[in-house]
Amino acid sequence: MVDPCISKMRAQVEEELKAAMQYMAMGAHFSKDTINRPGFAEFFFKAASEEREHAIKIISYLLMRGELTSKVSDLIKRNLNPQTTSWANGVSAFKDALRLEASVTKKIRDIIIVCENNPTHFNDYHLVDYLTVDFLGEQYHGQRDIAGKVSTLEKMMDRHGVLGEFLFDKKMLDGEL
Amino acid sequence: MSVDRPHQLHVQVWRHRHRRGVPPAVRQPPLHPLLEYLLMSTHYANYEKNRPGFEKLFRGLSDDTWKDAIELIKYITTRGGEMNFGTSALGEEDADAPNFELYELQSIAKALDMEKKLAVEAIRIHSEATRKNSKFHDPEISYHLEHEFMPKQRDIIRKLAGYTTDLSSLLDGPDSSLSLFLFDDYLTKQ
Repeated sequence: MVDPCISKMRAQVEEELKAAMQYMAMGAHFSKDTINRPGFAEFFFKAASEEREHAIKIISYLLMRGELTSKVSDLIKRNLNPQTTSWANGVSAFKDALRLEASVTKKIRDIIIVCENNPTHFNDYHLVDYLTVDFLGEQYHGQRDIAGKVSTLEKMMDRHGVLGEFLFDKKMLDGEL
Repeated sequence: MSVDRPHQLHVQVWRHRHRRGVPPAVRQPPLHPLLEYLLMSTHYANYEKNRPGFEKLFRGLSDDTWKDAIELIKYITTRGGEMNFGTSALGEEDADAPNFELYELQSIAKALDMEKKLAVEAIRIHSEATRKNSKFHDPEISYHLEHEFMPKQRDIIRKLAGYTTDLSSLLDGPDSSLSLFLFDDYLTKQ
């Protein structure tokens, strides 16, 4: 592997963990008794764990390619505190989640561009393929899922307000959505 | 023994909506110890160190920390509290020069220190939740700590302490490199 591809991949670990922390904050928010949406909370906690798994996948790939033999301590700067910790309703949280996923997708695409085309003219085919198939695939599926939820939830809340969000939450909790 | 920042969220006291009295601050230990374990695991997984046993040990600690963090958030919110993702309450002791690229015995010792610090913190919270603090008596928190939290800590600490004992005596012997290899091999099976 060559720089700047390596640095981009290293930076992505922190991006995924930042996303994980943001999802954790969403999960924590919807767990509060004053909000009380366990379905949303469960969804976001699960998303947080998945983002952490992505970070671990990137680390594993780098290790497989013989990287991370030094400066491991620099891999993650410690301040991964989430930017937002409360949301007005479920829809705004899902919209934030969609924005978050879109930004992560863009960063992955940036890595692909850098790893294909760099000053040392080393096109990292395997890495690009791995990112394209595994990572981008999962990103797009995730975005589609969240976008669908945003649409349905907005329609439900438009006519039925809190009842819409309540029912949506219970359906999510039961795994029906 | 010195202690680093523990990996779990710690609630010092809960904001209880219907309770009167001084709302206690919700303490939030940094989640970075969770990341510390991940970094330590990564260090042992590179091709130069190549210790799959140590990698597995620290990855396991990181995974458990993550799950416990989520459980603790749920517990905090069960008690009507709020998770505070702000600054770490215990400060960043290693902020200047964090180092996760340690030798094997050092890294287990560091993990042991982190877990012990967590236990000490839990004991302090327990003492505040019981009658020591006259304004605040919370048997539910003390129950949770006594039954859910402390047994796990006790077992992790005992396990890591045992490892440090074994590893330091093995490394003192004549076959230290071989011992280290065999110990790492043993860790892969745990």
